[in-house]
Amino acid sequence: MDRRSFLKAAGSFAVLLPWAGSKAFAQSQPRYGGPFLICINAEGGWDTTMFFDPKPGNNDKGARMNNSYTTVGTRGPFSYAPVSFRVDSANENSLLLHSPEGFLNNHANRLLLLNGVDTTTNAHSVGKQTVWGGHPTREYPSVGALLAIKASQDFELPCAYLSDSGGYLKTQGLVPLTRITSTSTLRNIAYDRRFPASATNLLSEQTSQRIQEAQEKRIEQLAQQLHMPESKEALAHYNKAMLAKNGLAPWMESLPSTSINLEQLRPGAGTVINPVLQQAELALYGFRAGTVVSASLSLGAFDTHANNDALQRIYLGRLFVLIEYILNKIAEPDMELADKVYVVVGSDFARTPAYNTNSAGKDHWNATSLMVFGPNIEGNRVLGRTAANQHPAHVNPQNPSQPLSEESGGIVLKPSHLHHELRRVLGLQNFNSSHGLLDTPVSLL
Amino acid sequence: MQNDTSKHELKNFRRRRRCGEKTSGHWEKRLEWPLCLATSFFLLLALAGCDGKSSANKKTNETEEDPPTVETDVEAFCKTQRQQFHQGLWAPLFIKACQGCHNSSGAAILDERARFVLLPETYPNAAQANLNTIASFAKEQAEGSSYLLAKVSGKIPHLGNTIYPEGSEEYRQLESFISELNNPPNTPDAELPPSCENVAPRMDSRLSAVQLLDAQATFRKATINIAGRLPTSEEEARLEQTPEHLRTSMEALLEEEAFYERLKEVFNDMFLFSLRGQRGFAFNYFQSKDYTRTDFDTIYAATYYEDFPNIQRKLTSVLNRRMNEAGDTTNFSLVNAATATAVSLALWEEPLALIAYIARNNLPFTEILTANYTVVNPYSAYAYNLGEQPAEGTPANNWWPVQLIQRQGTPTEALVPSSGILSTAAFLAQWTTTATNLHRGRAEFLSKNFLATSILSFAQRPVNSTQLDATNNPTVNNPACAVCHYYMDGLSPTFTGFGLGTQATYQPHLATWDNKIYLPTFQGEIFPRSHNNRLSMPWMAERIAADPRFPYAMVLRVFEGITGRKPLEYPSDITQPNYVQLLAAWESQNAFLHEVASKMAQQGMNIKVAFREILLSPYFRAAQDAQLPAELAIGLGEGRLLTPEILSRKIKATLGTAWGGFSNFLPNHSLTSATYNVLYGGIHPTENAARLTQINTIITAVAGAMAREMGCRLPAWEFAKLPAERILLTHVQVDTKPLRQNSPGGPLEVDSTGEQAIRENLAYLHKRLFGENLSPHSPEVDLSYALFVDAWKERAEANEGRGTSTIAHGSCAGRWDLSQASSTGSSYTELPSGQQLTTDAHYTLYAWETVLTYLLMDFRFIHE
Repeated sequence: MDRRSFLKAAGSFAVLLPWAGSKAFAQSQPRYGGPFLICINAEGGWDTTMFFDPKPGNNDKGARMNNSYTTVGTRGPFSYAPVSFRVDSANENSLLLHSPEGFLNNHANRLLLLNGVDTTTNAHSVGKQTVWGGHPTREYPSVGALLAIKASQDFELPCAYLSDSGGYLKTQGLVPLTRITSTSTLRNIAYDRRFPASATNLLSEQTSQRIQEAQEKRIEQLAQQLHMPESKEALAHYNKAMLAKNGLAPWMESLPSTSINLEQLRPGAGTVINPVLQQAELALYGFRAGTVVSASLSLGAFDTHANNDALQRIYLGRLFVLIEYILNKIAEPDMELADKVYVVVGSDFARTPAYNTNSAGKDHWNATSLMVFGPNIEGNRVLGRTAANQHPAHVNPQNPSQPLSEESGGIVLKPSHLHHELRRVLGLQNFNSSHGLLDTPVSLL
Repeated sequence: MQNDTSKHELKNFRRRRRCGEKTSGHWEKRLEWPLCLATSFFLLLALAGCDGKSSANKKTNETEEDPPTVETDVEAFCKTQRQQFHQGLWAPLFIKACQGCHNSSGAAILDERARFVLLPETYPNAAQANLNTIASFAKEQAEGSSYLLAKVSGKIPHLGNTIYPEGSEEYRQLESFISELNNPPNTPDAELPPSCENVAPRMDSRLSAVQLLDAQATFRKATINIAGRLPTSEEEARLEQTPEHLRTSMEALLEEEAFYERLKEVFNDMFLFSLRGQRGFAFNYFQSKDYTRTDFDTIYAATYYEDFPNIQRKLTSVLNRRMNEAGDTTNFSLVNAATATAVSLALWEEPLALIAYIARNNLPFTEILTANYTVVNPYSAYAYNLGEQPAEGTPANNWWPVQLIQRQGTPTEALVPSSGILSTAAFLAQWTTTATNLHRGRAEFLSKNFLATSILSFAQRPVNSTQLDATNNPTVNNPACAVCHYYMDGLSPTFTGFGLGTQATYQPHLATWDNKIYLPTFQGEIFPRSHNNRLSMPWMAERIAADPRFPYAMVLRVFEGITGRKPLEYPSDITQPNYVQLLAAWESQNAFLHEVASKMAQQGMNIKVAFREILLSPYFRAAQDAQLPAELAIGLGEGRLLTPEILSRKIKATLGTAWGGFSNFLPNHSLTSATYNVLYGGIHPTENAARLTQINTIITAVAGAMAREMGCRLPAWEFAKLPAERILLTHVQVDTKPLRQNSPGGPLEVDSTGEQAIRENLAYLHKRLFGENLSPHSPEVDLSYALFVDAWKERAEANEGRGTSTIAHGSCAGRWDLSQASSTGSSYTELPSGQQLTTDAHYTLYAWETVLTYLLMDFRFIHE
């Protein structure tokens, strides 16, 4: 469905109206209060056998499915690969970043794990589209974009949908995608009267206010002059962005004086994930300040066609640190986000249950896993499963933790099942009419 | 021009039609969805041309130079026929299920020698060709039924197995269509439909009639977009007097040096090469002290007996020589880092410089793939063993063509397999492969960008891992895989011989054909085994360049580069509520793009033709048309968010100085810097492949920062200049005020002379910054003037009795010439002390700062 059809179907024409009388972002306005969403994509396709879908044996062709272990750890309903994720994967004495076991020890109570989720593809772009947009053949907006679109209909949100790069970021033009880099850069530009990267105010408050009022009148003038639909639409987007600009300063003011960095979390670990940590921090404080609704983050170079185990362990270690930082931050009482933020972690797909000859790499595999955390989501659960050979296995749609043969009505979990549920808990069911999902809903969350 | 046959048919068609007589219930009933093409022929026959207007009254001009702007009856008939084909058959039945294998490089053709060949939508008039193909096969019989039905239902052997089981809805639709084709209604000869064989789609006639920007406004928009400058007064005067010179003005614009930089920018959105130092080549580790001599020896041991492009070995030898000369074989800092950086930049720029070379010399643009040469500048020549190390400060913008030769491992020197951009180190380093990917990503790049056909679009079928696992060599033997891989694995051997780990190293011993899927194959033609293996890339490049989709693909790139809008995608989802409108919009735009491609091909495959035609088209020039249907207006009108690059040049062109000062004696553009480029929606070679085209709050914040800084810096600099040198504050002096006191302590009164001068300057600024032609007393200038007056009064009242006012930020004092770099190359030249302006004695600096801040954030400054 194209953007215009969507607008019509969703009944949202506000974005097409020039100067619809919106008010500038101000502290006194009602603030969006949730739900919020963070989606994290392990970029390139993670190896699920390296954490919570361990395969210690051989596949049905006699090849080892994972060379890093021969036994499996268990904790409650979870099975995990008994490996460690270190700064230097080749050095068992190097700094420990994380481990599947350690992660479960800290967060199992909040973790809903989906295993054996069939992306039905082995192409990166289609995989990301399926996992984050929910549909294998249609380029829907990502679920994060949908939430931002919905929230933007009722609230002035400076940066409703936040991202840096990677992942799946389709918006169909219905909400602006905002890229962020570092906190310091944002601070340089966030204050409407200052010389860039300086504390000096160039203009008085009255002058700044008059400029804003003149801009509003100028937009009204332009709205009378522009008649082509895309020109009017561009003006409307400009108007909204200009209005929401005032919300940047309060957001920056709410941030800690020192940005989060990996050294705070793992002294000695360096800086390798500082950018994405800071993006997560900006998103979380943006939630609290009422400026951000959802964030799509991406991490790593998981497309390990060579040297799979070593590289996966490096990137999974970083990923687990990032997830843990987010979960811990959400739980801080001062953030007031504990019952408002959903976190979904996934990847393009997974990796083959065998190694490539000579390169020790693994190729693309359609059966993957997803991790979900959020308000009222019961943790300590594993739904869906893979068979011993890592093929997606059928489960009982009434109780997806239990196997059930296809002949008896068993189903394979797919990303669409999760999206049905995410739309339900995030209040996005209205999109079902314009952006219908495949498969029958199954109770997951 | 129509041929004689179609003209004859048109004549008979018009003569025979009897308006209204065949819109009876009989025909309406038979046109229930899905529309049957055979039936629709006859209804359309009755409807075409019966809109109350006589075709004789329509203005037509059928010369080749000036095609008719009004749609003819036959064109309307054929358009409707195509639409019904798309909606009733092509999109729902053939795209997903047939096209992947039944394209000319698909598994059905290569393996089964199938005769049923379908063209992708990106071919010129593909709909008509496919309709003809399907119609011809509809007549064939097999096993007592239709051959097509027998194939799709699996009654007779079919490589793709059963596609539509007998009894399925799709089977029924196809059966109905075939039946209608084979059993046409008993219709009088007088009602035979016209042939659409030679009636190609063209841009909707309503777009030809849309109100365009006038010649001056169009040229201003083009100069900013293409050359990063404003029109000269001579150019404006010429176009005002003779608007018909717009075409020649455009052609002259496309000969300017700045155009070639823009051309490189447009194409780098496709290639994503690192042009600003975002990525170095691997030899950057020469700048690291962590590597030891042993590492180098290991890396560069004679593993490869040829070392094209020979970069790393060359620099290794340079390093060794320098260390030997210094008597210190461990001091890696002796490497000239500046030279290494310049070499890195040169190598990344090489393919784009080749593109610019081809355009500058008006060579066929196909040479970007087929050229048996490349281009070098002094730094890459040095890296390729073609020249000595350049002296410090040697300019990098001098490029010349060379043919690379291999220096080692063969008895005699021989040319390496150069093939335009494809064999450049930059292309191979940016678009990498692996030992299991086997150049397949590169194959997708070739197909998507040079043939306008994404291989991934063939594979809408879900992948069933259990089935894949059960198939031996699934990319060949499993239809779910083969649907893409036959096509892909024919293209991917283009790069065979180039290393899988060391991306840009040519290793001829790898150029072997072990399996037939690794033989280069294009459109069913297989690279002869008897050929020299190292010819595979040129062999493939020639075929891609000769394909009719090549100029079309180049036009798509140019269109997006110029307009900032992606060409419309073929609407394959017939369930969209406005599908018919979207299809019409796509067909109209697609026809225009094919027309441009055709002109480009006819005019020596010169890429400038594509630029010129798009710049002169409604897609660049449309101004207003309230009557145009919404779907046809997609992609039209002002409001394109300028890219960081274009806005940077516009800032420099309109304000006389860049936002960002100087770096190494060149203007430094903050918007394209690592700090702001990504925030402002720019591309990055590894992190952001797509530009943001929709404004967001952060972009407005960056634009605001620019406006505040430039608004602050400019007034004092302008007034510090001699009046004749000013470009912004040309109608006023520093003491030109809007109000005055006739006596000390008296009330402020309007200074009508001052007001008029300020208003005229504001109107001038609206013209210079936005291209608006306004009266000094227009509502727009009223707004700007009120802002000026209020700011002036505020500052005057705040400083009452003190007589002067300070400038808020030291950078904004008029101490520097913002257009001249200092002797260090990284700051501004200081003005003579007598020329400096460091206080705001008349409060006008603050007032102009306020207005410029306002104007530089304007919608029309950051959009075009």
